[in-house]
Amino acid sequence: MDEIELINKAKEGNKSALNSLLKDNYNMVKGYTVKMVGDPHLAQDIIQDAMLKAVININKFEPRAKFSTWLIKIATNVYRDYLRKNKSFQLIDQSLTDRGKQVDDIVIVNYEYKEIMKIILKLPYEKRAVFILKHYYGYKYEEISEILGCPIGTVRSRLHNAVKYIISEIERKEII
Amino acid sequence: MVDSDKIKNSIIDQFYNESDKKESENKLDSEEALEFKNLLNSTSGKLEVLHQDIFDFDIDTLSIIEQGQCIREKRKFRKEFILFILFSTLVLSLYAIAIIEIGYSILIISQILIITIAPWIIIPIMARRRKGSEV
Repeated sequence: MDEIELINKAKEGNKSALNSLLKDNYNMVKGYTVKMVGDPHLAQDIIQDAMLKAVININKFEPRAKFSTWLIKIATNVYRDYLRKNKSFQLIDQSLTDRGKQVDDIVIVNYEYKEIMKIILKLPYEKRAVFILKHYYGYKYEEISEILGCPIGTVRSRLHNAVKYIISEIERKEII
Repeated sequence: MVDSDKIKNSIIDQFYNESDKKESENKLDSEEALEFKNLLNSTSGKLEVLHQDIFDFDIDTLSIIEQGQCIREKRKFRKEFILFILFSTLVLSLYAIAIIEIGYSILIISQILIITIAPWIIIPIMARRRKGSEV
């Protein structure tokens, strides 16, 4: 069943279709939110809130954009609201799970993960969102401007600044 | 804006396939530009580490759907209740005005009309609804 069909069924109140939509897009929203937030517990809360809002407002969704884009837009708004209420974030120190790697590899990757996450989390939330959407999910400038509700020129300049900042920080920390 | 900054911006746009080709190819092939391109490529490689799903948590989507539908039902009920109150107030107000203007006879006439006409409207509607829900 394709996405539009699932959306139409979900709008009619079909729980199974709605569940499929949420499950299909879960990994993408999870990846985006974890990168945005840097804290798995907070990310979990934000994903739950975003999905709840999606379920409540499913009838307002127009399939001009992908469902995943709409979910990401909701998750971004939920996170923005969270930031307005609480002005601090914390990077949770959680070790990588062993997936057949050598111990040395796990330590190196874990270190790099944390360092890069710290660099990304130092970016203001608007620049971080632009960078993550562009770099990790390949969204176009127009789509990002739609998600974040800002002009394309702003998206472009935010990405330029974010990339230059990340390069300078990676160089400074000698991760390269 | 400084020229080197413009070149860097163009390289970033090119890297993400968003180039509008404003910068000349000569500038993008300069030594500084090539150095920045290499830096951008190696940074991109390092950033791949975040693609790993290291936080293992799952979300019960079905319970979120139940919760969401419950909230929707409550909102719908509240909306319908407010509409009912508004409509009832309107009908009673119109009745009151009609009684003041015309007299009590309007109340009796309207009651007879409603009792006579209402079954002819309500019964077919209900029958059609029942048929619709059976299909």
